[in-house]
Amino acid sequence: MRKMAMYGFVLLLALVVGNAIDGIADDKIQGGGKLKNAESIAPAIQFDAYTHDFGRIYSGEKVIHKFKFKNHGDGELIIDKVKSACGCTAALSTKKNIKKNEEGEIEVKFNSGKYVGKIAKSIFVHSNDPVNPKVKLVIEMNIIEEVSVTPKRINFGVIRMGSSCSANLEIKTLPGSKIKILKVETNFPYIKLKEKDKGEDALNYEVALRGVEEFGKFNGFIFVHTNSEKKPKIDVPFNGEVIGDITYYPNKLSFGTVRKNREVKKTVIVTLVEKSIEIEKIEIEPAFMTYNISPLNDDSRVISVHMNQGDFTGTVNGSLLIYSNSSLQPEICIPISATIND
Amino acid sequence: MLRPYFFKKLKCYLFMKRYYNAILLLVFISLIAKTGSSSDRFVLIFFGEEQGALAPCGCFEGQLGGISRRDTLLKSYKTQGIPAIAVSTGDLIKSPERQEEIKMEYLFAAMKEMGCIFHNLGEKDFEIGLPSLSFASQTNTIDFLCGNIEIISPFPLKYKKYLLKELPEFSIPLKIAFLSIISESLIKEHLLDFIRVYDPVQSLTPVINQIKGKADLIVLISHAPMEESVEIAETFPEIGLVITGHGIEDPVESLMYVNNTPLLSHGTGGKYVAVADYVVKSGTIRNTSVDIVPLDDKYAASEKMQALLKQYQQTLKAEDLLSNLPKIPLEDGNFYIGSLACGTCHKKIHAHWSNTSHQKAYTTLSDGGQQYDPECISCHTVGFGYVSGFANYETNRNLAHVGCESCHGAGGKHIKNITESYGKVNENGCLECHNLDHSPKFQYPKYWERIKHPKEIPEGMPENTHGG
Repeated sequence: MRKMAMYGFVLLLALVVGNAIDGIADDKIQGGGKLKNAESIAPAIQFDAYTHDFGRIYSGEKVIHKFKFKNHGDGELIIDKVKSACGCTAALSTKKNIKKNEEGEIEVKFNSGKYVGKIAKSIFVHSNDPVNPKVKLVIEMNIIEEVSVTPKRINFGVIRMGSSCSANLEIKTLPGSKIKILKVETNFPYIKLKEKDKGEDALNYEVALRGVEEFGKFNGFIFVHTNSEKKPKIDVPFNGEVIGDITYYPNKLSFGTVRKNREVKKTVIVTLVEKSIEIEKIEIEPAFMTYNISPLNDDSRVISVHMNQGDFTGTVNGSLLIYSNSSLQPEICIPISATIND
Repeated sequence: MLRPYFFKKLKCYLFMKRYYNAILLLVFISLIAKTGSSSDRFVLIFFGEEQGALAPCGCFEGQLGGISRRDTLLKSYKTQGIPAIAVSTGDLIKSPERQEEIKMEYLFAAMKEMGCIFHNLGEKDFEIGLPSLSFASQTNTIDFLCGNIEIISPFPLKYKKYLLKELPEFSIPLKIAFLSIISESLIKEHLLDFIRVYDPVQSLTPVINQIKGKADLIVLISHAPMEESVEIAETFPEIGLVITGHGIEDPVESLMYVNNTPLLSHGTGGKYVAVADYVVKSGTIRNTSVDIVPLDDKYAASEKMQALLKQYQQTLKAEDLLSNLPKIPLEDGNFYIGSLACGTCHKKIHAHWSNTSHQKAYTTLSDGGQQYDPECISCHTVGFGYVSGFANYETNRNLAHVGCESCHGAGGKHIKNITESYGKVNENGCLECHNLDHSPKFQYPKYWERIKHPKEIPEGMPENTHGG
């Protein structure tokens, strides 16, 4: 009985010890973060200001600011590192070791290149200050564009062959800047640009797409010419995809480099966009390639293409041919490529 | 003095002898309790908004991110025996081009290799086009998630509204519910013919009611601006963790708490991952920390991911994307001629250029196997993306490297009429390539000294026609 009690006590003790260890592990996971007691001779970093507002700047403009700090502590202040957020560079422009009552500077450079609107960026200064080992500095600004276009990219999305669609392109100039839009043009023959309304500082263009004669994805640019020195030309990319009665993906089957005697498989998904369309026949070449077709849903089919190349080595250039009752796409050819080696 | 000490030692010995088995048991149980702390722990790892960034481009040291380091981080947990659940939060690509489509394929291959449990749909994923996205959803083993959309296109997009993930590793199997929403504000107009987006709160309400009591932890992937996610977190206190923040470049300070729910972002470009650490005690889950971890060189390259990245470059080569990209015509009928043509008259300048790092720019790229990558090539050749500019090495060898025309502009008109003013350069031209993403240490005066060439006005030419 006494032995049993002793074992019970030991078990209880073990659980307590186990939980204690677990608790220590938890504290470790949480990272503690408790401040050490400041030593009697400790450095103390203090900045004149922790935020700097550059105000209004032009897109593409570069700005510089120096954050000044002083070591108000008794110990020597050592700047370990200066880390900046994306878009700006920051560095210590004075010495690393700052004695009592000495001053230092953090130089922050910001290139507004790709930004527009009100933004704020943070810089972190790591030092041996026991109370403030990581100081956050912030730069703020409002980045304006002399000329801006909306949208930055036009995506026409998926459109049926023979149909047309349009998008609006707004071009704005900075009020009072005397910036003029000289010309808006494109080298894509199926896009027509029509000036819709013209205000003092804004122009609206209708970007109409019609008559694309090829299936598949298309892309190009609209060029906006201005008399701005900062932005004499703005390229607005556009893209879209013209589909017919049938769509398929991918539009080529590339097996890459494969070893002989190793069977490989690729998949094509065919969607019958027009309900009345039926697949009548499928052919595949070369002869060592096979396929099988199965329904995915009412509109789509899965074609699995297998390559049973056996001992063949060399380059394969074949095709998967899909025949249908579509007048637009009676025959679809999906190229097949592979390199087979030993 | 000796006797009491002797008796003490003897007593201690007798105690140890008597309870030898019990002491052994104590040591054993303590050890179990200690090692058990890692098996009762699991982590959720979130990454996304890669926006096409498969790997750091390698332009400078200290770049963050990449699938290779991500894989190593995931494996480091697995090596420690800590279950790590990987989640992709959406926006794999940045634009609807073919290169991005290829990247998407490779990112899915990487996710599969990493054991990622699902991919949350972001608006940029839809931008790639529904035929491609539909194909990806049907052919990838990874689940797609989006809780507040309905697809009305003929393209069969396979996705789930939410996912209930079981963790069988623990003594009492745990269930984590992953919910997902996308903000309507992010869906572009041209997609609205194919996608219907519903109010996130209305869509989440029935799901949360359904899973309440069934899930031990509810996680929301909110593909939405921060403010919208905060509102959702306030509405549903049942949610234990929210991963959100759309387009946050620097996520380090994104962590906030809405009541007691942590809400954070992993940022854009795949540079960071969000890691939520949990311990399981008596069948309940307790969050011990949430961190935003930078994927820096602390994480070594993963062999499998490096092989995948190599395959990606081979695909770019096989598809010859360099030649197939659209080309912009140059202004006023100008055209590129290549540095060798400039050197016909400007011999000293050409000789000087031959000893600069600009003249090795293409070699730097080809040594790293990235010479078929359109994203890299434009800053390592002359005139890429323009009619008459570099298209591929086989046909445009004379336009490889950063040449005369990279800084001075196309020289076609100048070579036709050498009296025409030509050659002015300024810092802005340098910044097109020496930007913060690729050359953060760039300082114009310092870098200018490295490439500054001597003035050389060919005989008979007035000096003011050459800007140098």
